[in-house]
Amino acid sequence: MIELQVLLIILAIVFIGYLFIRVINVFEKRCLAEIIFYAYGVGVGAVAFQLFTYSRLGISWNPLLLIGPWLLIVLIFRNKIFPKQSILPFQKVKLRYFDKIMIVLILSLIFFVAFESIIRPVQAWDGWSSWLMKAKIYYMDGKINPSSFLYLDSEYPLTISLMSTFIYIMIGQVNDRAVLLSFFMFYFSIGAVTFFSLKNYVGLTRSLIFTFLLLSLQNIIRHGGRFEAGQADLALGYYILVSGILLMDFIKNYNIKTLILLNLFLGITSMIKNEGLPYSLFVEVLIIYHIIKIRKYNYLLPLFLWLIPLLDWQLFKIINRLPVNYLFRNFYIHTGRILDVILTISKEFINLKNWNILWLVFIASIFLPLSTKIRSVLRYLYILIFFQLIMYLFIFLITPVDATVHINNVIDRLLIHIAPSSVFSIAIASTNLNLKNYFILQKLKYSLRRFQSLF
Amino acid sequence: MIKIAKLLFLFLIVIWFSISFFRTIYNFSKILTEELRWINLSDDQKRVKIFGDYHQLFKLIENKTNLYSKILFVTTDGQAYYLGRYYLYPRKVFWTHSLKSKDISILKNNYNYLFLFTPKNYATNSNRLVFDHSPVATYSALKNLNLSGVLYSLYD
Repeated sequence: MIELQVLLIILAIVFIGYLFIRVINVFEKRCLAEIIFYAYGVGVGAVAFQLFTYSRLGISWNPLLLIGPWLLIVLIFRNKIFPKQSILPFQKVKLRYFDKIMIVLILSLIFFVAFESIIRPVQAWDGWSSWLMKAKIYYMDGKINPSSFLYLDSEYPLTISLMSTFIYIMIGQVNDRAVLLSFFMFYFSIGAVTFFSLKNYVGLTRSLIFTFLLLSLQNIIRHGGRFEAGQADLALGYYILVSGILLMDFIKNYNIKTLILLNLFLGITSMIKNEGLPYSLFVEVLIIYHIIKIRKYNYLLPLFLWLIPLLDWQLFKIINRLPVNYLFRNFYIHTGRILDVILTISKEFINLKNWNILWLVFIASIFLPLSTKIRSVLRYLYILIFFQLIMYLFIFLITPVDATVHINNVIDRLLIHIAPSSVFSIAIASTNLNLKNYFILQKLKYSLRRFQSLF
Repeated sequence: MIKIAKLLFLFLIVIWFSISFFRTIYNFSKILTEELRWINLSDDQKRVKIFGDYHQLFKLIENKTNLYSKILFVTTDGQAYYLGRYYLYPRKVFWTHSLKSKDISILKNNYNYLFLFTPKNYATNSNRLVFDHSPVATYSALKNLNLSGVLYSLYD
């Protein structure tokens, strides 16, 4: 079955990413189940970069030539790859009745979206007209032909398309239905990364609740597999979330291994969609600020993991005369639009069908009285989320097309980039709520225990 | 005041959770009510459900054109162009809204096929030269009677 083949290839991509994580020797104390979902993100970047490099060096995209180097790395680092660490996070934790209900709900969502992703071929417009169009072109050409950028009038980065091309090469055919499993994997990874990271901040039960709330957002479900799979927005949301989490980890511990992994992720983030580039640049500015603050200037070296792929791509665009992004062809800032743009964007925040009441809760969480400790954790998340929102505002101020039309076409996809980070911030803000202080919740808890005792 | 803010925040989380819970059950019910019928469909049948008549149209063009040819779409239908580009690669698809400013020699130098989508809109005197060619294929949509196309070969 073709879906099984694609699943095996996804596992191979995870393993390639896992190799990087083991070689860097980061996440030594984390369980394998958590590392897998970071490894997927690294693996996607690795295979895309491999195809890009092979194409420019004239190396054939033969499956053996693609897998070979990774097997060599396994041989060289075989002692480091399989350390003794736990596989699951629950081996030493006693799960409460409510936790088990939450796990069932989360797994139901994951099953539902996985099922949705494989029953239909790609049907999202940008999926077949852009991302999988490029994947098909590169697969059929056997390389990245610069003339394809002119044919498609596109200068978008290649990572997501090359991820799909890699899958097509391994299965030996263009299958725009089975490949959607790789887009579902971003949905799964967003949920897993959110759960494992939140657990350290808010405890098991709250992390399960907020993971469920994130994965149940209809827009995220659609992009994970139901109708809108095949686009790059959920992937970018994943990379922005992971980069934000790793940035917070780095600022907490100033661990160079975390910095190396963070820069790997930022390098890939800048190569998912054009919206990832300013985000990664801004995070790098924050990193440099902290490096100067702690005066460890050798920490600047890992930044090359972000800088080199980025410069390489910009050079490729210049040398091959790729078309300029339509936003910048007749650059002009229409300041008169600002009120209209803000009002039109705001309408999406109250789109209950797409977002439930996520954005209302997010705004409410900003005004919650928080302890200094929680505020110091949340500060950088808020900075990153608001930076990205301001960037989207800027895009609509310079767009050459009608701003209202443009916003209505894309805003639901742009907000996916920051939705996971927003749910993460809400969860951390909720730690200030000590549920023991609410009498009604004590009553509910007592009733639930009595109900449980009946069984 | 602080307690009210926290209570309001908690209330919003409970509302959010409740809506998500019932939405999840509703989503799951769609497997039985909407999605099961997709499982037994063939790939072609699924694509017809998603893309309608476009699927049959591009299959026809695929069969009637050479693999590495260039096809000029004359249509106001943007979806036809973008979807055609996806379906027909490695054939290259190009797009123009009308033929009024084109003449036959320019067409022949740059393209191998001409596809007029809803050609009755272009039956003007200036296009009569084009219509002197015999069509390679014609297509009438099964569902939309206004959607039809004519494929011409520009090979000598």
